[in-house]
Amino acid sequence: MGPTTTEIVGSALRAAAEKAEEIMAAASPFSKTQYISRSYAIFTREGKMTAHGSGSRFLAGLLPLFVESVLELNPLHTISPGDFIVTNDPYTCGSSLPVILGVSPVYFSKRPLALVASACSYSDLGGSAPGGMPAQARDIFQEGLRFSPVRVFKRGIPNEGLFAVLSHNSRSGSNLSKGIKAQFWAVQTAEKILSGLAGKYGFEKLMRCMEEIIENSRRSIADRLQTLPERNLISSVSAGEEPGSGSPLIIKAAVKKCGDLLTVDFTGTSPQASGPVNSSLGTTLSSVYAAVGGALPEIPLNDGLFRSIKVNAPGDSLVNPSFPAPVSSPPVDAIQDAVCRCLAQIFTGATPTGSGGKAHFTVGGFNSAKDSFFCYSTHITGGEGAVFSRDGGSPAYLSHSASPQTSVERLEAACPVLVSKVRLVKDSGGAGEFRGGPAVVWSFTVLDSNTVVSAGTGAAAPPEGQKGGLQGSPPLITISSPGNGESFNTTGIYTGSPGINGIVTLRTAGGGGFGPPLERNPDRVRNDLLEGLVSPEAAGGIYGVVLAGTDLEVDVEATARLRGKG
Amino acid sequence: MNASNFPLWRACIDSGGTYTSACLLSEDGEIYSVKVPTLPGSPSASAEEALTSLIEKTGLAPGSLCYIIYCTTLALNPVLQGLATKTAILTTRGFGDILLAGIQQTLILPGPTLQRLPFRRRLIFEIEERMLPGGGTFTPLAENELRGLVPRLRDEGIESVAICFLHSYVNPIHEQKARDILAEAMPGLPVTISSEVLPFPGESFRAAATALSAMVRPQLESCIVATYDRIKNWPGKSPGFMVSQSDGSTADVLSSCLVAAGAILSGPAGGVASASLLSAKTGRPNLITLEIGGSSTNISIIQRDKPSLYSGNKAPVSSQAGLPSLNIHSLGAGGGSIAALDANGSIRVGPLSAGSHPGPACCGGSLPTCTDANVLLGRINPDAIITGGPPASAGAALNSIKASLAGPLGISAEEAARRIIASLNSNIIQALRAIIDKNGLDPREYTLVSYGGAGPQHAAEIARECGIHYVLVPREPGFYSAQGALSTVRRSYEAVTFINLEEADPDRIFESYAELEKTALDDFAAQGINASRIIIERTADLRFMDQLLELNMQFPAGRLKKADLSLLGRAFVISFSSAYGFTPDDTGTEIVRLRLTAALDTPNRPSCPGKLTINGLKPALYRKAVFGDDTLDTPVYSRNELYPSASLRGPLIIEQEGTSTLVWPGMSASVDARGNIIISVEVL
Repeated sequence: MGPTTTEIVGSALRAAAEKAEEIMAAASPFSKTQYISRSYAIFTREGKMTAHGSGSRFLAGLLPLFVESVLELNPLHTISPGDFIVTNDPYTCGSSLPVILGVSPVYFSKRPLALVASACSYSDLGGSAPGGMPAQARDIFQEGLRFSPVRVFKRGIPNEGLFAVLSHNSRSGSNLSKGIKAQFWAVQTAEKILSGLAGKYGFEKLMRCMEEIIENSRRSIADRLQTLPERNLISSVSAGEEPGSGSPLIIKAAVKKCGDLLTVDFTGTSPQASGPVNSSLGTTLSSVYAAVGGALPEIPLNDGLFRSIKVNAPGDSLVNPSFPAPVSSPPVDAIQDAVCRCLAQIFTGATPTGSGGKAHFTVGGFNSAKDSFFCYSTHITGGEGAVFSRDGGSPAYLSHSASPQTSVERLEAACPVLVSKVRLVKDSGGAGEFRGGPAVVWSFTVLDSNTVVSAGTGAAAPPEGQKGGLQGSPPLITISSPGNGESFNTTGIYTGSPGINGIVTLRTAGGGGFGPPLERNPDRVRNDLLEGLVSPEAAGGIYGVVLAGTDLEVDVEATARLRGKG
Repeated sequence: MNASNFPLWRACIDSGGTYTSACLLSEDGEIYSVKVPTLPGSPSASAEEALTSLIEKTGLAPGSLCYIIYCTTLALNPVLQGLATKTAILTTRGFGDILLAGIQQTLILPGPTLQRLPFRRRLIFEIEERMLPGGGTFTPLAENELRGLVPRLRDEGIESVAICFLHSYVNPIHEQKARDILAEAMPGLPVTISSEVLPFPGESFRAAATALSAMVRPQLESCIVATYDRIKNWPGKSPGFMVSQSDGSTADVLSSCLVAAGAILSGPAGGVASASLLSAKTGRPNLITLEIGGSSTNISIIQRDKPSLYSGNKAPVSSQAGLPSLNIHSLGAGGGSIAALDANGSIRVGPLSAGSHPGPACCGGSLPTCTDANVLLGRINPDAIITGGPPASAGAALNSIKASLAGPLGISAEEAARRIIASLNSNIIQALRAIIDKNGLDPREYTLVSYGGAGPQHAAEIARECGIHYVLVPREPGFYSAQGALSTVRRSYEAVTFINLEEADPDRIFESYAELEKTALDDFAAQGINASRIIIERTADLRFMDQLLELNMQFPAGRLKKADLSLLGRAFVISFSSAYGFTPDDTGTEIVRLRLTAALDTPNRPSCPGKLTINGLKPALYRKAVFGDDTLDTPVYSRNELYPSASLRGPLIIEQEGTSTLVWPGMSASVDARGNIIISVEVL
């Protein structure tokens, strides 16, 4: 009773996408200093995603809209083997400008077999601040160079003129072009595996398997949805404030389960913002897919999933802005949270909400000694929301977050900064029967007056708890410039030069708790205390647990009394 | 007496959690093996006992044993079973959470496998010190603060310390100083420093490798060093003593202890090395190795005759740490795994193992194990179990299963035994399926090579469930890893260079290789091995200058000229293009690393064991054995009565000392020219 041929093909396609991801990273000049966020996926020749690798799920979620857009303008018969079509345009299918999407066809015996699509995050595509996420941006031009779908490789020959244009508009210079070339070359690896499969099973059979994989997913979801009651839920989540005016931004999501379909309607969401906190349509869709994927973790990300979800994102809104709105700091976590809260009431079981989101920072500038720009970007994952039967995980073990944390050593080797701490924050996980995951704090000193730092907190507001659990701790960015004695906090986005000896402190949000804190198993509270995640005051005051003696053992009776049960 | 005329006998000791095996390899390739139960408090005593009894059995003269290879799973097992040493981690002030806020890794196997490093946050201590990226000191090491920590370490009963300071890979001086201070204040406490374990940037990864190394070091040291000390005390010339590493190479005792995590998979690596030789000889290039021992199961993949070396950060146990290792997945499931009821009233097996003390219930232990279940089901002959004492008792197995499981659940003992085996198999099948899926393999193209004492009992059923059509059981499954460690004895040396191929000076390269070769020959000489028996291989890791993709290329011996180097460059471009399908333009090539491997030539085993006789194919006896829901009168054959090309239809059992092979109804078994049993699973 081994796997069926379809299952074998499915895992081979996944392995092909993964291998391409590995090769791309190894062939890219950026890998020498930092981790590269990327994702590859195999599509049928009609443009339906069958399998993706183990790279960033967010980037993978951009690919369906991308491939659809490309095929509309360039039908398959106009794309030749060895062509590589790339774009980063947020108003058609892209995310933010440093994310470059690319697609290339795979042929077998002169017939088109499949498409290999990829998304990769580069460190700089120009714009008014290194990293392309300037908080002051009020139009797309300030965020960098934008290009609609264009062939950078034609039948395997690079368009060096075009590559020169790209290189000239990036602080990474020729490394950008080398990186994009690596993104193309990695396709060869996937192609080899795909050709091998076609040779072994036959062209027609392979195509049928790919369709079957998609159909199986679609059927699994349909079956699952059919068993659930018809629901219509609405949630509103804060997406921070409009930079400048300070007016509140809201994501409103109406999630409806109707038969075997889910619809997500963002009508009622704030209109597009003048600041860079808009989410392009591609980003919005990817966030929705991630939220649904979280509720149905056993379903792979492929066309079967996408076809089960209908998304309505009104034009000119925060979730589907039009030109020339800036898009470099989208409220991804707020969108996911809004959708997840609705899903949590539709699907029983573990749907994580109250996630601390992903904070990020970029350090960039010019190194006169090396006569080149440096630009180092990284994400820091916040505390995970707790779910029924499980505490929110520590950032190091979060499986949904595919981008590894950055390395202090690599950051310091690349940029003139000195990191003073990277620590979990005590009492930051929302209290509950199951505690939210702890927040992380990074603090570093800038050693050069011209270094520019961009940062964002991810979650805009403290993540809420569920079913009586308390909220996680709020996120915070603190910039202090000892030179002029200034210091300020923000929970949104920041770009600036802190100056020599300026200190940047970035604290992610803690995850929301699940269930009433007074229900938490006292032994777990004790363990949290001993592990330094919870303070003695919180142990008694919030969890109602009394610990006594030199070993701080649980005093069962006193605890019951304190909790009002004795 | 000419040293090279001296008979060259070599030995291997494989210290497992349940059994200790010893093998002796003669000059002409004959192997002699012995197995004794491992004494948990003193694995070194069992090692000495096994080797001594083997030497007596073969009549080897004292002083004619050339060297001993030592491998063990005694570091792996506690990790798999969640019983790690009490380890303290010291790190730079401000970075106490580099392990929890740092790397993100998802381990790929479900089931009873290590999911995360078992350390406690409360045992991480920050020390005032700070290095800068270039290697300069920003804050000196606060020595008094460190000394002040010592009472706390004593109070907590710390058994091992790991130190990981920022940027220590550039300047290790603070780590070394801290180690000296602790050595003085707490002599005998093992201290492992990150600059010795994994001297590369990336502090979370390095800290994880160091923490893991520190955690397994006390167990590893206690068996390696203790065994080494015992053998050193033997009369006459001491044999060389080398420790097998996770990537199949060998190292000396001292380096093994300093980077203990490097030897976590030393036992299983031997088996994989054996299997990769097997693939070439049997014409089966794609193998999945399945080793089921007393306490652990190890799975690995061999494709096109090559075992996979770990690379990247999705990885099994020791290679999670980034140390060179074969890609072997381990789980805590074995013949001695204890069966118990879980919260839902289902029977769960492992990861705890009864080892050999107390051992399975049939051998005097109190709790039922998989071995007891197999005895009850008629699949194992209790007389064939190696106990080192009174023979195993089927009655004791029955009573234990009745008392612990069948009684409380209200089912028959036989049904309980069935469920125990089902649970063990399910853990392994789950892991194997995940590996097959993860790697995109087609199981129909693979042969399952099964060894370890318990492997051949379960392999056929597992293969069937995973869609694998053939099972191969080598001649002595219980000794396969030990024999494998003997068959490939090599040491690796490297010099990191980063030279541009265009600018490289051939003479300097020649000198670097010469230095490495001298070190290699000296190391082997220290083990009593003469240079004439050593085969040297030179390779180099090359890459294009902008990238990380490396290829290992053969490097010609002797003095080279510039022209030879450009030839190497051209060969690299061609190999790269053929491997990856592209070549980057306008970028130079650089030599990243020069590698030298020194390997001992080992005689080939005679291809057919001389003891096989051509007999009529009559089974030794019939026994009632349970296959699924049926109890069948099953023929039992003795392995040494089967001859090559013998072919039999299941159900049947093939017995030999220490293990038995199960062939199910509907399957067939034959013996190939090398004496391996091939089971055709006939998957539906």
